[in-house]
Amino acid sequence: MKGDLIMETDVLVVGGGNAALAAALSARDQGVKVLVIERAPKFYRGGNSRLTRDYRVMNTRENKYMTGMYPEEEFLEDLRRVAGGEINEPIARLVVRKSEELPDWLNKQGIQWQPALSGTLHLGRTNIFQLGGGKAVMNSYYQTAKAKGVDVWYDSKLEDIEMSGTKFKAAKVRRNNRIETIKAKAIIFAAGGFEANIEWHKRYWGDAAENFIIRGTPYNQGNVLEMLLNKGASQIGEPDAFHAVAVDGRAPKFDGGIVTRLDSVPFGIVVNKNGERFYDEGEDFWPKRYAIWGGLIARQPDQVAYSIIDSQTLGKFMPSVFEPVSAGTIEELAEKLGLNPTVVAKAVEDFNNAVRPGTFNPGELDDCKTEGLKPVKSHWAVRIDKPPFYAYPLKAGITFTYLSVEVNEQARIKWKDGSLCDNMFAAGEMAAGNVLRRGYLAGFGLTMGAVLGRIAGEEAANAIQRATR
Amino acid sequence: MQSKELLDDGKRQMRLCNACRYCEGYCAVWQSIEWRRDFTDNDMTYLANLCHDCRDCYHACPFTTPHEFGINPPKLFAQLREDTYRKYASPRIFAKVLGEKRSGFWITFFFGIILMVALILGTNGTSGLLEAKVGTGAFYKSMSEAVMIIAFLALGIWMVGGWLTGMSRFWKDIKSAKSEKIIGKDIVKGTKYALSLRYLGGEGAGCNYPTDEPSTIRRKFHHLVSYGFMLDLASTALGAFYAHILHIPAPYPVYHPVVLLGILGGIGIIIGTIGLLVLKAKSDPEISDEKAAKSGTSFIVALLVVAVTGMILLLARETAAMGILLAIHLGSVAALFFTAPYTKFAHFVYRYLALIRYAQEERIAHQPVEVKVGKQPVKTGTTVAGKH
Ligand code: HEM
Ligand code: SF4
Ligand code: SF4
Repeated sequence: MKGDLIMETDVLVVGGGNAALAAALSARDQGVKVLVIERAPKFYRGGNSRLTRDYRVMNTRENKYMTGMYPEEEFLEDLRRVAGGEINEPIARLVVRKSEELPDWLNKQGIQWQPALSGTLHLGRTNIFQLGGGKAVMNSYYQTAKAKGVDVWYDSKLEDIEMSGTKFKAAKVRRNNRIETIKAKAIIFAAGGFEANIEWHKRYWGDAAENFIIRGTPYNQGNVLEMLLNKGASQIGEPDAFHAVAVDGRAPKFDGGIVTRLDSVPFGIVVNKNGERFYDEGEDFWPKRYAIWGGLIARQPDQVAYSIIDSQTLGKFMPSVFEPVSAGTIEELAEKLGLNPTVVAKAVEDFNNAVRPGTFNPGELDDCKTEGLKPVKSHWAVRIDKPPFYAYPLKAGITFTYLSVEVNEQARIKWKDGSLCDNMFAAGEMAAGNVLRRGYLAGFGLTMGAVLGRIAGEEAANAIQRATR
Repeated sequence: MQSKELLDDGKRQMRLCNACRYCEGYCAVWQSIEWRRDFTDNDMTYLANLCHDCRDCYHACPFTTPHEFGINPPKLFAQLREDTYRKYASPRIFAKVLGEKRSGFWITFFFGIILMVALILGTNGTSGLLEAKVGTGAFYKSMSEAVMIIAFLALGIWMVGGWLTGMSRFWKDIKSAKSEKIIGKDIVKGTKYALSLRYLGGEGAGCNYPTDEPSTIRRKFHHLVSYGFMLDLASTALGAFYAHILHIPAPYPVYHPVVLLGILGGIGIIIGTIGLLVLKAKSDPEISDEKAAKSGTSFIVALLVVAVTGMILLLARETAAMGILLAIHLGSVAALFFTAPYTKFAHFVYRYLALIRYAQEERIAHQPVEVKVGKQPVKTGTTVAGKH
């Protein structure tokens, strides 16, 4: 390692996703110099934002991208519901209100929305869908950043920061195997959570964490988050919680994104490695339940499970990337999966015997359920008896973590003693716990990232301009 | 890659895309895959000819190489289209010799010139080839009218016949497996999509060609070429009308509609083809198939040669060089016509049919079957959708 280059800028943005770029562009619009340091190489720029699909936005006017109104109170109520009542009201309300500006503001940054396409699933009343998804969004953000004169460094990892008292002075950044010192008047942290850091998960999950699939970028190691917490930033959000869904067990370890998802669970039964069922597969609509299945599977032996269906239900759910394992009998299927054939056959038989007649309808909470079976299957229970039989292996796919640094409504970082930083801000996943300490509301992460990112950018620039005036 | 491997990899990619669907707003391809669960070889051919190579999906895709999924739809489809141009043309050996390599056009061009020279010498002797001619019917003082008509009628029939053969074979493969009928509305819609090159424009800002910044320039150049070509066709047809119905023989004065249409069309083709070549040179090789890029260039150059020799002929038609220039220009036209069923020229045939088929699929898919369940739209009978 050699050299200690010094570079100066006004606002240093750490991270390269949605919140980071929203912050960088907003700061730049105030006329200050901005440098973005992204840990990933250019191809992987944008962290988990590159795998996203939609923003949840308050909506009180007709527009061609959404199907109806989504007022402030309903949005807030949705947040309270998923968080079990425990949200930071002032910040939540601020994010909700400002979310209404996002479609226009993002559009000005070159981001395009997907117009209503009849027959497709990606159009909603509460969420606005990006044309092309998250990577297209990040491409637009970076193109606009370039046009506006924001500097971007890739492959640049923040190692440490220098402070005088509680004021940020300079950052040590590893780039091309050298440490460079960047002096800046303000710094905005938007470098994501720790979801890709298996060692960190092991603190809470032990060796089970080895079997987790990380759905997003491998670069979200949480190093910046940890550094801030070590320096005394106040912590918020449940430390050991994560959002995890059931994914195909054959998914790549990292970065499989949306395509590894599997929607077969409600259409059959799910057994663990011992061939036993462990949870009601038909408790509710899958979109409302898939998020608990990650955690359920994470608690099974070896963190695997198997979704078993038959030929009647194969075509009823979204196609998935990997072909199912198939066989003419349940025993053969179990063997192919490496499970005990007699035990699995018994589980299927018990289930089949418990199924009560009903009218199967995947579009509603139908009356097909089991009786006298534990655990019960409360909807869509139809006998698994039409060969060929199919199975998908399932694993827990970790999407994001909740642990965050505490901020105020100006995105300023709070210290443990309750005091505020002058020139240090946080946004994105690193600050998401400020509204949702747990729970999940589709599209809210991006929304909060962009809103708080914009605020952080403006506040950082204002703070600099006040200081120099 | 071998065709079978290519098709299998293509099906893998489409299955993956169908589980992702992030690109659904970009083009017809992404709508079409949502109407399918499994992909046949014919489906792949159809999708390939629906793809306009705008490259939006490639740049939006988080799963392109270096990601292990290695998704690359524009390249996949370009390769499959090359196979289409060979597979549906007949005889296939012509397709291999004339369509695959740039030399195919040049060799035919060479023989075309020789043929024209021979026809001129045969009808009007050396004076037809080497002396300046003016006044009405000057061109026919080089090559006799009857010979010219017969030669180009034959070539025209060859070209159109070749396209029609490909057309019917291709249609057999891509038409609805359930034998649903094409109605007038489908043809109107497909025609609109084709004439406007809707899917080469991206949604609004334009497509990611030649670089990852949105641009509509490629569509503009294509319009110049294709509409330029149509103007030239119109000019030829009008010329025939004047010559054989009204009996006013060529050459016509510069302000004459026949000449004006020809000049406009020629300029369009020249600007458009050069533009397309420049864009092609700038585009990312990672997303192009090398073979497809070459056969595309060969077609562009053929059009350029026809247009340039036509313009030179116009400028020099009153000089002694006219005979030779006429032989060169007509030779290039003959080569273009002769190779047309086998080169990329045939792209419009397959693309047009694919777009009509798409219009039909779109109509059928949008016949009301949608129900709403809770807040999730659900497509009855096919999939229960969930987004994560
Ligand atoms: C149904 C009408 C047509 C459609 C839908 C169509 C569509 C397209 C599309 C999507 C491309 C770009 C992708 C590719 O290279 O395959 C293309 C390229 C091209 N087209 Fe067309 N086209 C049509 C008619 C024509 C006509 C009439 C001409 C001229 C006679 C023409 C000349 C060209 C040329 C020169 C290229 C560039 C080839 C290259 O870059 O390799 N097209 N066309
Ligand atoms: S090209 Fe990539 S982003 Fe687009 S649908 Fe396919 S997998 Fe998804
Ligand atoms: S390159 Fe463009 S036209 Fe082709 S499949 Fe992708 S989005 Fe569609």
